[in-house]
Amino acid sequence: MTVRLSRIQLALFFMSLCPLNIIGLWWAVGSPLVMDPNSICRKAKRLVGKQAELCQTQPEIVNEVARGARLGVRECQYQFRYRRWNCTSHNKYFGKILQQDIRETAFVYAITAAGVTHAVTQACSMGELLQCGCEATRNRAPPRPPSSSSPRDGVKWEWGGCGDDVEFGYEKSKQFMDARRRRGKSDIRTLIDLHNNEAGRLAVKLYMRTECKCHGLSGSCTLRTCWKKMPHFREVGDRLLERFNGAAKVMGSNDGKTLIPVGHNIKPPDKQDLIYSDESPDFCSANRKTGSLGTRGRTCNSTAMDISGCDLLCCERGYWEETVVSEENCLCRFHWCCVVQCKKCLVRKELNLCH
Amino acid sequence: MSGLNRTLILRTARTPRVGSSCSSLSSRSSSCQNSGASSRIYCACLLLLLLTTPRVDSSWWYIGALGARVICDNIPGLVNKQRQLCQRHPDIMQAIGEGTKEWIRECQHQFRHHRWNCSTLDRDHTVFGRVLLRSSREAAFVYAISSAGVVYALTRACSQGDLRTCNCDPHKRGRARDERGEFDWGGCSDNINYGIKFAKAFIDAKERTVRDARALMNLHNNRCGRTAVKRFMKLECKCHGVSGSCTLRTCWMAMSDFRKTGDFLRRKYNGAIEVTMNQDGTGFTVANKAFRKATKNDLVYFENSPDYCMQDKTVGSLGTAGRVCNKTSRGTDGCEVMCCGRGYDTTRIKQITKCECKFKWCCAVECKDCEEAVDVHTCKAPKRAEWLDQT
Repeated sequence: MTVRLSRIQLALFFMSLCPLNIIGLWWAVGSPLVMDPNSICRKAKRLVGKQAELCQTQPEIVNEVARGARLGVRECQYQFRYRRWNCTSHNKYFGKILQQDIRETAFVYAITAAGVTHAVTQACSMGELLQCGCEATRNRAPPRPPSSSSPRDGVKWEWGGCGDDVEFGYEKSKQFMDARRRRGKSDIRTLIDLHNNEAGRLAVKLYMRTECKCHGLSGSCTLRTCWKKMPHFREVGDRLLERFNGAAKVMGSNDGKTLIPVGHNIKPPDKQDLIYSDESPDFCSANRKTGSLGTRGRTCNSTAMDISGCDLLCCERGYWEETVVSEENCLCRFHWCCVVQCKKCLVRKELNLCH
Repeated sequence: MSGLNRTLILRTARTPRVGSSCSSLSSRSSSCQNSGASSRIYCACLLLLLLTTPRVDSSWWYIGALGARVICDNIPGLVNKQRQLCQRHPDIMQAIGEGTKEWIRECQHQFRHHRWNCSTLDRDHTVFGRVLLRSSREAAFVYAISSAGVVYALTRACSQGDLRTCNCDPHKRGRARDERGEFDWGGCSDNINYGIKFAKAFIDAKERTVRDARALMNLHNNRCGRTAVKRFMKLECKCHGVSGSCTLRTCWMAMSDFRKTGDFLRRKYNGAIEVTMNQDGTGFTVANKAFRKATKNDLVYFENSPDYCMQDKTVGSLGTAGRVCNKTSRGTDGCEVMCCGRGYDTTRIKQITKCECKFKWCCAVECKDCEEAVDVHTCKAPKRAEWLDQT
């Protein structure tokens, strides 16, 4: 009797842990605790439609999706490393932040969608997935003359090499993250999330660069082969941070299907802008209800004037200086063959920590 | 005469009260009768006075005769010495008044890209509000540039001949030489020493009445501002030798544009030194031993500035909500620094500029109006109460 009760209690406990919306459960996929794709799909038994189908038919893609989500969160932590809320996902307050429809949530969704796109596309190019490969040549537009070089000589170039099939990554990211649309929900939160996901994916898809390799006579550039590559993910992160700074506050319009910006004369956000609907809470002090961790003990930059400076980051509480001594590899030498030997140096670093 | 007017007004204010109290008290009929009689006597007295006193015109013409005395007495915050100087030299006061607009404008130009942009408050007699109560860098700059502005305005008024008590510099006479040869002093050399002397007497009078750290800081910064104007005096010459050659020259000392002084003081603001007062209260020592000592040309301060990000009435900062920021800049006018991490709103406005200008013979320039959409970025406001967003 007691055993059954405890099992029921455990079941209830686990069910109460699972957030009601799927996006919350989605975070279990990207969490660094979950490294094994099989357990992702097991945990994601409540996924519906396309997500469950993907889990069953294409588990290796789900693996890449998980890797992409982790990449997104890492980039988020890098971009926000000097802001008051620094995108720490290792604690239970992360979910609380995601439940609010604030600018930071918009950025997290966008960078995750971008990360998934990036990771899946890269796996395609590296040949790790069977369903996709390099970009199909026949789908590409005919080569147009490169704008940088002068049209003086008959510089021929053609598409070749292995271009990134970003369309595949885009589709997979859309399938996995935008499943809500199929359910016919069109509340404000869903619309905003879909818009931000799309903004993240477009930050990768619309900024492809062309890389070329010269292989004419003795390496000259009379003959060139070019292919399209995705931008570095750091660039994507920087671009999304710019959009985050210019994020627009929106509210639902009267027909309930579109969003209009709040404020007088505000430029309507385009497809690549991030949008949000609530003001961010005060991240200066720790607050369990809003999910803020406070800025106590954060490293700040004593000379900077922006949000990473000690005045703003520590919210005028002041800071103290600490000297940290750490061991690092230094004076590394290469010995033939093929070992690198490094000495250990003691490095003193001066850190400014907030009160 | 004004005293009589005042008593008349008082009397007329008092009588309605007597009448109303009489009407409300119906029970005390006897006292009412008595008060009725006294009110009649009052009315009679009034009529008599009105008939006998001469008419008083409220004459604002009298200001012309009173002149500077009225103005000087009505400026709050002047000490005795300043009031005396004010009354003795009304024309100098007028020149200073005009010069004030100029240095405020220069201050706002220098700080247009900063969070605190030297904004003035309209109905405040302290002009800048509570911001200068704190002995911060900004206060140091404002005091320095105000002294510099007074010196500049005075010296210019002297050279233009607006003032009775000063003229062009009388010491610049005869011949002199510089590295390019000999020259004659001529023209009108700016009499900057007079300007410095008067500015020192007028502005520093207030600081000499108290002996605390802030007064010492103000004196130091005032002097820095005054010498900054003198530093940018330059020798202007006119060549009039044979067929315009420079064998014969006439030179005079002239002040440079006030912008140079503003730029110089802004650089000093960037390098301002934090100090503390000595034990015996006479001088300053540097707060942080690692930094260099404060010289006569440096600005000093001893309190840290607030960050001016949010509106704070106790500190006097207006916040940066609504300020225009530059999206591409990485300096203090960039959106990251100006908006303190709050983000910015983008509005698209149509700018009409003149373009495709053509010269038509003869002699007009015809331009077309080109419309272009320009994005203007303004800093977002910090989180307000929810009910404000519904409007």
